[in-house]
Amino acid sequence: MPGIPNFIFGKTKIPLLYKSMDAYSMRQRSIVNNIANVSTPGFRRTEVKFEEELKKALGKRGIKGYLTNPKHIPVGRPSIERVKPIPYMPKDDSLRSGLNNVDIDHEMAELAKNQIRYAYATRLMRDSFNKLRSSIRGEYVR
Amino acid sequence: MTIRGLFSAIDISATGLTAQRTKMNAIASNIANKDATRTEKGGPYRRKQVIFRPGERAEFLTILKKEHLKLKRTTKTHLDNEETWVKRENIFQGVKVDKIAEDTRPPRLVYDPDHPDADENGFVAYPNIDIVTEMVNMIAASRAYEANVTAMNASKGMMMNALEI
Repeated sequence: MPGIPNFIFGKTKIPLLYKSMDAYSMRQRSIVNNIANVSTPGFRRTEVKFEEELKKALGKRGIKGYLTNPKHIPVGRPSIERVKPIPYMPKDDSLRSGLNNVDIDHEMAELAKNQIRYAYATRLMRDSFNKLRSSIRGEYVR
Repeated sequence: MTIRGLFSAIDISATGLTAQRTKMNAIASNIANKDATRTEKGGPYRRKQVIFRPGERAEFLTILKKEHLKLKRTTKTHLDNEETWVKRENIFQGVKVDKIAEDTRPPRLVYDPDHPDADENGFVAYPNIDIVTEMVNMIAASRAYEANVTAMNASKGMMMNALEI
């Protein structure tokens, strides 16, 4: 998070939750776009890859390359700050709906899942802020 | 970016709603004009078909390839380059009504010599509209509309969640 002192928020879940809320909002756009194009002939559905990227960044294995110059090419395990949601088109040429590869049942299920994930992330975010606030005030939490 | 992102999710659903409503209007017009033998252009009414296309015209992958460097892994020991697919903000553009096409199939000829629009052989040209097809298309359009409404409500709910932080 730019501009915010890292020594407070860096110890909490907040930067991670910030990342995931960003990713879920991008995934929401991807799902919604697939639903809007459910009857468009020749449309290809998109997905957003995020969890795998995050897992790679959180993993302890592998070497890690540092970027000290903006022209550097990142190698190895990325740091959490550099994890980004990645939109892509899955290789799937089946015509599920007769017009394109959008399966409306699948999209609606993904929509529901994404909603729950987002609600979960916001709740964790709120709790993290509440705990931080309590510790600053010196209150006893539960 | 988060809230703006969700606002544009609502906009994307709105393009879907507009498109499906246009389709419904065309279907309603087709059903209403099922027996219309006269039009301003002359001849019977022609069946209207709404053609959709994705909002993003350019091929997504070609844009990515043009804008970003891509490294390939040829053996397993190669380090992977994580940033080959940098996110583009505006790839989700919803759906657009490309055009409203008129059916070019020949009209349905019905023998009715007393009809004022009958030709010299006594045939009247009626629009080539099959009610069953129109009904099926109508149900499909109405379900797609509902799916878009559900998606829009989901985005709305997510924004309300974000306000509770």
